[in-house]
Amino acid sequence: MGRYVVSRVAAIAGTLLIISLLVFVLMHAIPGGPFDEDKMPLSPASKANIMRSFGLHRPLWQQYVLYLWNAAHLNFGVSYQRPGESVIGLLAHVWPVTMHLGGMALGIALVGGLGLGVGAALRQNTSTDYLATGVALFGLVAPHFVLGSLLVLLFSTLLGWLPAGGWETPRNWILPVLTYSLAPLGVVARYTRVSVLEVLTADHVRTAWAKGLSAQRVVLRHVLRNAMIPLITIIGPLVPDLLTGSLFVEGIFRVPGLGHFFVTSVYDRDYPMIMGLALLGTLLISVTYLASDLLYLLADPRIRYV
Amino acid sequence: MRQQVRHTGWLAAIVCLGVACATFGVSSGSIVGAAAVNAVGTSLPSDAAPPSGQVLTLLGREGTYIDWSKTVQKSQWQPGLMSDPLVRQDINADIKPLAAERWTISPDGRTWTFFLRPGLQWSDGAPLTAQDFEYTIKRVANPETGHDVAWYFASIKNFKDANEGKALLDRIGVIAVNATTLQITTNEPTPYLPMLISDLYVVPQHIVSKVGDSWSTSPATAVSAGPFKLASWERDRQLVFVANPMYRGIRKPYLERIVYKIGRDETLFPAYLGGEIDAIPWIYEGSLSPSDVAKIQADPKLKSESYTWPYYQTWWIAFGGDQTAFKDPRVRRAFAMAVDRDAIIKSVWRGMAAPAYGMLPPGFHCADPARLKGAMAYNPEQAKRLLAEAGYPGGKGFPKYDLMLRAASPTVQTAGEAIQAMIKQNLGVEMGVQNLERKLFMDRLNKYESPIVLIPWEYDYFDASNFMNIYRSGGRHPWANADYDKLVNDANSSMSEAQRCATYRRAEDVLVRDPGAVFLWHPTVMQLWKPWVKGEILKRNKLGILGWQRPSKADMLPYIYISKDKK
Repeated sequence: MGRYVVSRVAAIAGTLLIISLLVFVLMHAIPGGPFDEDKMPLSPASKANIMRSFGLHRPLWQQYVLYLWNAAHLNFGVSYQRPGESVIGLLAHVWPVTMHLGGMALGIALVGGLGLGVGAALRQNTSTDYLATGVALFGLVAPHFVLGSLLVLLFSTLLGWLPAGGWETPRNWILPVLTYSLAPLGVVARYTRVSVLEVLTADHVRTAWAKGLSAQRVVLRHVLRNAMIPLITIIGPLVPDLLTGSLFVEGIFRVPGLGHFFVTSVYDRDYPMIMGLALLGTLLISVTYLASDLLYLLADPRIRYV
Repeated sequence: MRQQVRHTGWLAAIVCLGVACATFGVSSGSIVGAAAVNAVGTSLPSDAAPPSGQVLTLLGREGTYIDWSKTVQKSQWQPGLMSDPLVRQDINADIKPLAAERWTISPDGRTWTFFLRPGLQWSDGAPLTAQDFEYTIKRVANPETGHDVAWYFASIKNFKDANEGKALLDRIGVIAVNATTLQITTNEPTPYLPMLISDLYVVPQHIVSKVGDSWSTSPATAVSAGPFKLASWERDRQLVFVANPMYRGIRKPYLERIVYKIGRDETLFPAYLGGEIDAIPWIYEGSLSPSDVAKIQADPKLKSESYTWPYYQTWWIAFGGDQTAFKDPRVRRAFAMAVDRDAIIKSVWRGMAAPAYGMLPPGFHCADPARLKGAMAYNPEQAKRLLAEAGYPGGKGFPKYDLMLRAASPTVQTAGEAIQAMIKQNLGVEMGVQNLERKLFMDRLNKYESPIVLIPWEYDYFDASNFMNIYRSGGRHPWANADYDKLVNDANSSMSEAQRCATYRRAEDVLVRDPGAVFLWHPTVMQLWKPWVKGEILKRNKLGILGWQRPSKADMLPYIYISKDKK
């Protein structure tokens, strides 16, 4: 078990290294540099100065090695979009907002999705099932920007109940969280329904009913626990997805989070930020996969890692 | 030395006390006679809301610094709040005194002497001097600054050489003769110099030289010589500016506070409809969808709050150089005559654009578009003939090019596709359309690698040179014409206004008739102002234009106020 975790962590480090190299090569391969401006090019002297000040005058391999060296010392450079702030400082500033939004959305997706899914499975082919399936399907098919715009139109413009944007008070949180949570809620609900339905027909559940256990005990202990394995698999990727933010949700609702940096960094050729975000994303995905692999242990005692 | 430090400390204390007195003394808005007076001593108009209600809330993108001597493209676009340039443009784009109360021009038209208004100061109490202006220009020129539009001041003597690292900064033609006299020398006579320096947003030398680039990002160091000063800047959320009690210039504001929320363009309209913001001073294709614009035009209330004016921007098709089929002027002419501007404006822009017959937009300096109306009129028959003469009858054998667009909005993309269809239908030429990401597009454009592009130019300063210079040889496009270069250069340095305009027009004739470009349209800009926002900038100017033309610079905000109508 311990050896398993250690080897997985080593693999994560390897993945980070490979990703960093790939992203580094790719971002330097696209034409246009961070300091090429729109209307007229900078004077060569100005440009040379800027390139020097950001270390961009060095050969690429040197830049990469230097980046790794600095990164190993937890120095990820300074964002070109925010020259006053280090990449770490900028992330420390905007990521909490995204985690706050993503965390709330994740919570709603899990609780709501599980509830809907279990409810739909227990009352299969009734109106409850159709309603739950309908909500889940809507969440899945409506893209963020459509759903978000609809909610703004309805609750802000027409009814005037909620602010159209901002992040200052809990009232500002409602619409973006709702928008953000509906798609994962749909995913969780659909998978929960299917996997609960499957377990409901299993022998051990029939036995549990036959023993005269209460419905609550049967569902929570015997059905849900066994239905968790496919769910953990599906929830795993939702976590890094929700915690890195969405350009659309954060854009539509003016949430001062991380989401848009994934796009603006590339547009601006903000090399340090592109690298930082790629590594952050890789790390998040790797860690959640490791975590879900470990969660299987809790959900299914038959699983062993050696 | 110690003595001096202690003195400075005392001075600072006194200044702080002064600021405090000025702030608290009248901050509640004392009533003098009938008129209310705001925190900085401006008497409010009789229909104005009380001083506590003099708050304007806007929404927009966020920049890096509020410092135009560091960056324009990436700046927080309110330089006019915290800085008084030497001169300003009024709503008629006429030059009026601002920090300078008067100026003189030497007989050869090369040396300008500006005399600063006495008593000007920064919000920390330090005097605003001619040295600050000299410092600001040199900061723009300094290659260490890496200024993104340093070409702007290239007419100042040795400025370009200094920016290119070929001359020392001290050789630039800017000298503070004394604390209130600034002398600027240009390479050639530059009649439009005042237009250029109306964008010279002066920065405090005593702060910038100490704090560095980040000076303008924090209220502690962002001292202001303008009508407002920075009260807070929460990244990604909002900036708040408050009236500057230490301001001694002539733009004393009515407003007490300006709240500038940060958000993407798509969030503007919902925020306006929801009453969260007081205005959208900048509605432009891309910032509002055509359906939103249609909604504004159909809704009587919204329509009454909207102001439209032809924007000083021109869209055109530019051609590649000698290695392309466009080296033959007949081919360029054929393309020019194969595009039906009016149809594009009607069906794609739904009227939110005016046809362009030349480079200079209607209402712009020296513009006279009517005379060029027939020069390259839509004429598919003649276009076909010209293309056949050039060796491509029915488009046969014509190379396949892609019309390149620069990060185009859906509307511009549609316009590009309309052009593609017209070229196919009228000339039989197959042409693709490619919408490129910005940097990629500019990279190819600057290397003259694109055979055919659809691109705009918008004005930076109100003078024909701003448009005409782009097409000089070695400029943005490969097209080169010695006659054109000579005419534009002559006009640039002629001190007679009438002669300048006549010469620019002759140059424009060359450009349109050759043609160097196919001029297509000038977009219409819309602004929305809640009915309670009043003031000079919302009045019709002498060109018949209603609406504020330089919202990005925020220099007119001191002239607006909030009326009692605001609940």
